[in-house]
Amino acid sequence: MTTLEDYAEVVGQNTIEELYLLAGKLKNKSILNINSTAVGGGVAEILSRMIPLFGQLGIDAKWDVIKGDDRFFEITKRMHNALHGIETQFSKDDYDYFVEINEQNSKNMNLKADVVFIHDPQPIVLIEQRKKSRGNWAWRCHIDFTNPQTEVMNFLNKYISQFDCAVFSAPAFSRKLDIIQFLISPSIDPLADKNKDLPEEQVRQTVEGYGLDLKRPIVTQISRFDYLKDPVGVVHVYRKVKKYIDCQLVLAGGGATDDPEGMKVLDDVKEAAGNDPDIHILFLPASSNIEINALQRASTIIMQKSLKEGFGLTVAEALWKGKPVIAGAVGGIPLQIKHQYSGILSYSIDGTAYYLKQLLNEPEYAKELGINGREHIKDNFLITRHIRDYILMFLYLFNRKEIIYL
Amino acid sequence: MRELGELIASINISTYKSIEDLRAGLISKIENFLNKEAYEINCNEVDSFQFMSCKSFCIPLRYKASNLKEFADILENITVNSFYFHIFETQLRLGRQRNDFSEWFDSIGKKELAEKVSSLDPYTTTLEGLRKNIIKLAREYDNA
Repeated sequence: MTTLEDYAEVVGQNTIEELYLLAGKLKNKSILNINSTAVGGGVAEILSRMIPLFGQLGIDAKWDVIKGDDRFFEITKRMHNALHGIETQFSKDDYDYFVEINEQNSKNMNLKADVVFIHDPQPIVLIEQRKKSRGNWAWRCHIDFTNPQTEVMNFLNKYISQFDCAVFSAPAFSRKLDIIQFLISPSIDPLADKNKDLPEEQVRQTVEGYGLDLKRPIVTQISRFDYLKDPVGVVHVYRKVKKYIDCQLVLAGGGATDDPEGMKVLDDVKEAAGNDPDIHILFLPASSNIEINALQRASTIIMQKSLKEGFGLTVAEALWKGKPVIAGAVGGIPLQIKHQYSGILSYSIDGTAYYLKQLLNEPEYAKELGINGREHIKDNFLITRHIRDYILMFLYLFNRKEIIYL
Repeated sequence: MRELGELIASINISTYKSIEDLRAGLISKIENFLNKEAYEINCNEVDSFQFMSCKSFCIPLRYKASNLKEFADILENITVNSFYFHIFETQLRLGRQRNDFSEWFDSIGKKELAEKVSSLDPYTTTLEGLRKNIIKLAREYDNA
């Protein structure tokens, strides 16, 4: 089991001591996290790593997951898309069913905690139960809220306004709300299977097992198969570059139990790829962390050509491995990449293809981008910083002042 | 707007004694610029400046220095957050004349060291660079 002390080698002993000091002020407080999936996607991944570390800090942190059927997750997926600004239709039945499933869940959940920490919109209606819980309620939004569809936003606002605070990942995501909003970026775990150092031999064996040729450049996008990650756009970029540079493309990712759209997107990507033997489409199970780690480490360039993005932690994962990254300038990605210093931000298929050719032709420049990127991630997007921010937010909920003396 | 960006970036915040002074200084620079240039730029929604507020948390650390050697040893080990607090927060938010370290050096009779640390410009170096400079100076005066 990973211990907090293991992180001292990465972030310094003083950072770990600071966490213990702050966590000591939350002694005997209970934190209940609730989201809608135990596996797949960034939220489940962060929680699975964070909960044990909170425990080591002496904080009573728990994690519960709401249950839903296909219809519920089909509605929440559309809701997710609408919050990302995509025009989507909802009937009264859709909203009613969303509320009903939340109410059913609330009957089977113990919501007694000092802080009930709800992640994303799926379980948001649980706030209606706050009278039964003595604690504070916080809502964590992991979605890009830059341009949400008004109707869905108005529906959610009824619930958001009942929380004590909301948490967003980037300044641009914040909305006019009646409650205090915190800015807390998500993070990656440098010691998790997905990010830890791997022996070169293991990397080689893993990627060769997928039929990749390490002697030729490998361009990779690791993402759920989701239209908003634009995997078909990545295939178009690859084709434009392939005319000039003999490279391979990897599109690898899995699905999440709360994302029913994934298989359809996968079919579209396969169709776009056709019979090109240098396009490798890998639909991986949620447990494929070592495989993803190896694919990222073996890659020459990592892409994240998202059209919308909650935060885009795959960018942080790639940069942590010192890889040059070309990514869409959306969501939290510009917080992770300063254009032409710690990576490349792009806006179109043509622009992405241009930068991809440039980085493949200029490996020294690409290497420099990767080195700068790793430093930026180390300073800002590791799990220890994330835990500290959450602890401070919880402390604020118990001491609501501008300057808090602990 | 690049000229205005430079003007704002080059403000030496340590010459302001309080947040209100700093606010007035910033407004004055922006107004002077706008009056001189007499133009207006509307940016895209995504490029808007996002105003934020902050909450400060103060917590005593377990470290205590009784002499310059102990001070330098501890300064090497505290987090950058603690270092930031003693350099910036106390001066601007709490309205002290100098950073905490210079105040303490003065109080133990190390007036020259206090002046030297006070005159370091915290805005043209990184926090880690500044920390190294202060540790170096403290060690020099400890050996003097």
